[in-house]
Amino acid sequence: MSDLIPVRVAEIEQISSIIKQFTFVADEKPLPPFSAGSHVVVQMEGEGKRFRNAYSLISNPADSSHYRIAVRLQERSRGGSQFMHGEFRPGDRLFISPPANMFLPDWQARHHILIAGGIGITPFLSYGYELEQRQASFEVHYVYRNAETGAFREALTERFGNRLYCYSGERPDFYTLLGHQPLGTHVYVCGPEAMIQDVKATASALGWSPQRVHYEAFTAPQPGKPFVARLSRSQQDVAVAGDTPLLDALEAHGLEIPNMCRGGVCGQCKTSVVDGDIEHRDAFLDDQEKASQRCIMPCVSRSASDYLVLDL
Amino acid sequence: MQLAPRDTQAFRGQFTYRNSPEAVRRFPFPFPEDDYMYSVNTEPHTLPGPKGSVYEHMLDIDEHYLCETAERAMVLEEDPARCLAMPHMEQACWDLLEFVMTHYAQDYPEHFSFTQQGDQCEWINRPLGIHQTFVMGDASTLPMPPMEFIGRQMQGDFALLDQRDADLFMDAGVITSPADWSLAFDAGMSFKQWHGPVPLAHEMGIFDRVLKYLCAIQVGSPIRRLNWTMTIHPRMDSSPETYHQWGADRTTITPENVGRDVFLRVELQTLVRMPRSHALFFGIRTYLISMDDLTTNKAWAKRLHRVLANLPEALVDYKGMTRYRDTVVEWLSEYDHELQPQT
Amino acid sequence: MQHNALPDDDRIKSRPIYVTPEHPATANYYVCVAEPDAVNLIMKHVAPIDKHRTPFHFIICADRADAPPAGLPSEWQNVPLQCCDRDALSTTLATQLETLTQGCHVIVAGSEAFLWDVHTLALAHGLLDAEITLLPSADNARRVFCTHCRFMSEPVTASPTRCQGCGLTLEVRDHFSRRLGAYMGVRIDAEVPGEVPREEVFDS
Repeated sequence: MSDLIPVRVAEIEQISSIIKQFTFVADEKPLPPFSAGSHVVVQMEGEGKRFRNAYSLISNPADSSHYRIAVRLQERSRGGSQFMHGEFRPGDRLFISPPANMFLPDWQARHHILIAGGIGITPFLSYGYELEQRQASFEVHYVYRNAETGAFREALTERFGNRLYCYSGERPDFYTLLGHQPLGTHVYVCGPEAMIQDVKATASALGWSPQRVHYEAFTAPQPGKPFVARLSRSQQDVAVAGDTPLLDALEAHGLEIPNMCRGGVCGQCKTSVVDGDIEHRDAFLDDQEKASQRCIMPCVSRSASDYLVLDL
Repeated sequence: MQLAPRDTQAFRGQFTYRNSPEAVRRFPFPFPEDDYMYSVNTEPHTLPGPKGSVYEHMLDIDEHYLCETAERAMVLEEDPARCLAMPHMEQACWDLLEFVMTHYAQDYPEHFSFTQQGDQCEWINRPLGIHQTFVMGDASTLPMPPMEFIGRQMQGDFALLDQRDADLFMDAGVITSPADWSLAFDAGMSFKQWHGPVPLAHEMGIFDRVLKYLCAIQVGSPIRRLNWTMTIHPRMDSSPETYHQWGADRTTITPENVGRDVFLRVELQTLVRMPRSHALFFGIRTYLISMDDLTTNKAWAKRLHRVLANLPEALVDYKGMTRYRDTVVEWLSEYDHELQPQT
Repeated sequence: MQHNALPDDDRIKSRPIYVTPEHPATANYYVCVAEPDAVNLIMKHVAPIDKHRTPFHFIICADRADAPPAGLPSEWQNVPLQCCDRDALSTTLATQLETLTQGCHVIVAGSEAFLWDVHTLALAHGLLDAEITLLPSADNARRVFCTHCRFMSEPVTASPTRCQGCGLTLEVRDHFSRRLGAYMGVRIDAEVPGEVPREEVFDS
């Protein structure tokens, strides 16, 4: 993983009762410019624990004087979002990873359809600036349960006007939405897994090539049973608590493992397994790799028993 | 670092190109072993690199800067299609311009200066006598398109690769010193397609692994690798386009002229993620060293002898060395008197 | 349809592999483009599709805008049919594609260079590679891009060949550009002028 960037919290804005917006400015070297759809990994220390969570950048890619993210308070959280909502203050110093992008718009598309579920709107906030700058054709479909989760609707109505469609407490009819789109349309989905699957299935039924369907799942690591990770090369044991991802536990132990998304999709943290039953929770390994029990994505996956032996 | 005077005969005609002792010392000798085979030999381009080495800075400039930029100007005059940017690469071209200006000015402040006030920019290139104010992102404020503008001032070839569908596409570049490949033909190809002619590597699965690795490169984490071949005379423009001008040189090698006329050609390839466009900069910086100069380093001479003697025939052919390889191996054997493994 | 070479294929990796899918791709509209002697390749490929249920449009592209081939099977009688020459192909295809929405599929049949010319046109109108089916006719002729003068010579049936632009004798390599629909041609006797190998006819 490359050098972390030191930043300061410049501003914190409460967007709704469960969504807070954080603006960061550079603390030493200037912030690098970024591409629409990028995310950063925010690293924070709290109560003897270190959190590393990935958040989409929502600010204008053309303006790297600051980075902005929006954090939804998660009910079943390992503490990262709770920590940010409860403990951060303007002026606080912390570290973020350089921006990485796994959700870049396809700029060859002739029309872009953005479909967001709740906090899944965040990558499209940076998309919007770039789409407008390039004078691209696009429409935004913002699906949310209520005013708390759909906190950006006013700001977006101002920015996008009649290119924005809001669905408060209802699900759009994806079949109608995707039908009769101009040739060269691409669709982008960010939100709950069920919504992503729904859009993918609908696009497929309409005869769309899968290459036209882009998605970013907001999978945060979920808690599980505690277990022990044995490092076969150094002959050391690492205790992995129930609410700690394996990757975090290995990093706390002093290991540096390449990573980028911390959500089981990018493949960077792939680690070889020598022994043990793996509970795969990622979206990167194929069926064969999962069945082999020879590799794991430690950012989200865990042991199915009480130990795992890793080739580390 | 002293720049050699501009000389339009350095890489053609009289071939007046010469390496100073310092240039020979810092030459990126590419062989870590006595045998050469393809590998994923990339490594992080950690900066700053060893002081005085070709890896010290993000982009390397050396004493040949004026000669190479003059050579590029001549090639582009003869064949403008060596500079190509597809329309959708506009933003990548601006990324490139900002990237090069920033690093040249930061790492070679005696030669370059780059200041930005918001979008208002000022660029000074003292060796080439260029002083340009312009607005970042506004092509009308530059005398020519941004990639061409900065490309003419860079030492080394480069391509800008568009990343889409987990693949890389050769959609822009300035290629005036290729090791026998054509940008005009390869433009638009995907990663495996433009590597089509490379023997053996596909079967080894090299390109699958490399492609995945390259697509995962992030902003702030550049990587580099070395590639090599051989050239007769210090000819930078060894392109298929001009093949009928230099092809016959391969038949002119005798034991008497190996030292002077046979050159090891090494490419330092640098891969850097461009921040706004997400394109991948693929820098191809070429270094040339004659056999006479190379053999002043006895360890290099011995190793090169063994590498060439053991090189698989498919690679000898692909690298265009078929006609002269044996003569060069024989000439180098003088530097390798130890017992050699039977091949 | 990716047309990418498989790892255990001996041939150069930039050459496309043509695999006719067992079943035609699912789509809500089909645009078929064929050279006259390849029309039946398309008809055979889309035979399973009910022409009354799914709209088709057929473009036949010839050297001259000939009359449509006689004796079309009855199921094709109501399919709109256009004939055009090579110069008009671009605008004819554009006019068709501009009326269509997402979910259409283009099927092309003819010589290799023709396939990729239409492929490039379709991409320019927003289609993806996966939305285009290529059916090559049994014709080994190649279009050759002369690296030296950039002229396109076709049809070329053997290597080496004389460039129709600058006259140099070219080795016709297997390195292929989909964008150009052409193989790379490089002077064969650059190293020893006059030393030209025996001509070899393309057998694939």
